[in-house]
Amino acid sequence: MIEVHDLYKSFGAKAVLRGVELAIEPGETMVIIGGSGSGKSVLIKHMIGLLAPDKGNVTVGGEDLTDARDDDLNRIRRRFGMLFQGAALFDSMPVWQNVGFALIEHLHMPRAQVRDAAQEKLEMVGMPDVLDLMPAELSGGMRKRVGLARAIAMDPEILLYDEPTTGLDPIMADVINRLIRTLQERLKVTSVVITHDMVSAYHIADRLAMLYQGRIIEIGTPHEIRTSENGVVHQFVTGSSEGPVEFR
Amino acid sequence: MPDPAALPTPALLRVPAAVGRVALDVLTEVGAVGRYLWQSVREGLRPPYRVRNILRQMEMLGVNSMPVVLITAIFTGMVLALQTHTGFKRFNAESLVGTVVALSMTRELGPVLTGLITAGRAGASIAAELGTMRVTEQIDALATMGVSPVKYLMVPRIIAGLIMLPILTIFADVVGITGGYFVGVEVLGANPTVYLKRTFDYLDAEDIVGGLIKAAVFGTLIALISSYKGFTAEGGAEGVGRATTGAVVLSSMAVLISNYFLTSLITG
Repeated sequence: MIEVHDLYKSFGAKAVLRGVELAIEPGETMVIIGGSGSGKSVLIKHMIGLLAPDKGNVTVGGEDLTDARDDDLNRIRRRFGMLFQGAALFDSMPVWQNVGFALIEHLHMPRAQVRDAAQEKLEMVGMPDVLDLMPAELSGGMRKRVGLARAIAMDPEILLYDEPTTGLDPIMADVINRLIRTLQERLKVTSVVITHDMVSAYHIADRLAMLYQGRIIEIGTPHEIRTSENGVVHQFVTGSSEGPVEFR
Repeated sequence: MPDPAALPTPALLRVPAAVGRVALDVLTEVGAVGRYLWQSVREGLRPPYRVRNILRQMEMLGVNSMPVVLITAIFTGMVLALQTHTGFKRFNAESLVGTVVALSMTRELGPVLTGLITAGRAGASIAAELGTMRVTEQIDALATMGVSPVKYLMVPRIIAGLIMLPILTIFADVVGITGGYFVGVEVLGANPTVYLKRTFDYLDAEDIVGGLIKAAVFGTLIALISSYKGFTAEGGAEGVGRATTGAVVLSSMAVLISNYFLTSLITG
């Protein structure tokens, strides 16, 4: 579904991605783990064409994002939904307009229909009564759920999650994890999740990939990652400060 | 071979190196702004035209700036009449006060003051709003939903600047000339008929149109530069603050510098 091939990206003198290889199968949930600043966000932003690589390419369903024209890129992006770390809700619009934004922009749906559609998606994420609230009136967990409703508004084939549980209390994090699982089962979407929250990672992943020093160093099922003999992977998943991982 | 940029600069070359670095930075920035302008023109010409977004920005950038522009213009017209009168009295040319006020306001002070005020007021607000949207990933969110951020956010602001600055300038011209008339006639005791005649005898349509053309260019530059600064903000609240300051400084400079070249083009 998504293939990342030999991806390189630097910001100034800082090489963030150094030859990433990753293939994500249709319908699976791939969780990419890695430390803070390991380039997870940079990698996921390449998957939807928000960043252009220095070298290498990303294909989605066989279409290359790297040399796509703006129109093609916008068309390909409509196959995606993305949940941002801080939810990235438009703070000038009420919840229903946020959730229905793409419906208004691309399908030119009338207002009443957009509100109905938004309500349906909000019910799926367990937020039935917030249509007319402004984003500033919502708590962190509520914002994430509205962000998720917005991500699924156009019934995407692929969902990208940037740190879905970061900044939430453990109970709300579990609510979000269950929601991600439920949506996968109901919508049959391909999902890519980046996180450093191992509880969340084991809960939602079909497969996990570890990003370290700009490369994917291990890919496997939750069981394989948990029992990995790679010292770096082992240290990361057990959350120990002692081991081969270089940190500053 | 070591990277030449990483080598220490010999003492003699430090000054030219610094000048070169600044020149490169300026050119890079001008190039980036130019690219955004080109993209805005290309995307702005294609439907959908988002009239509602444009109207909202016209209100924000134009209508809301009106009170400050009017107050500035009336007092500028008044002080201009006072100063001109003081100077012209020395060679018995007091009767030309109205002419000087009208020409100065329409050709120069109307557009430039309106430009500077808008650069401060609307420029800061555009950069702060778009900068906040950038650092909270709202601009990325727009793009991931297949909507061009340049078209959705930048184009309406540029069109609003292009349309509203000339309109604000017309108001500034009228109010400034009225302020001058008030001081000339009521305070300095000029004959109202003569004052009005002198005001309009030497005022040509091209004085007014030239000023409005300048205003349209200023409006475009202010909206473009401030949007650019917002779009490229990075690093949280501090970055938004830097973008806002940068937008006000850069767009004020752009108004003052382009004013010289526009004036020489128009009068040339």
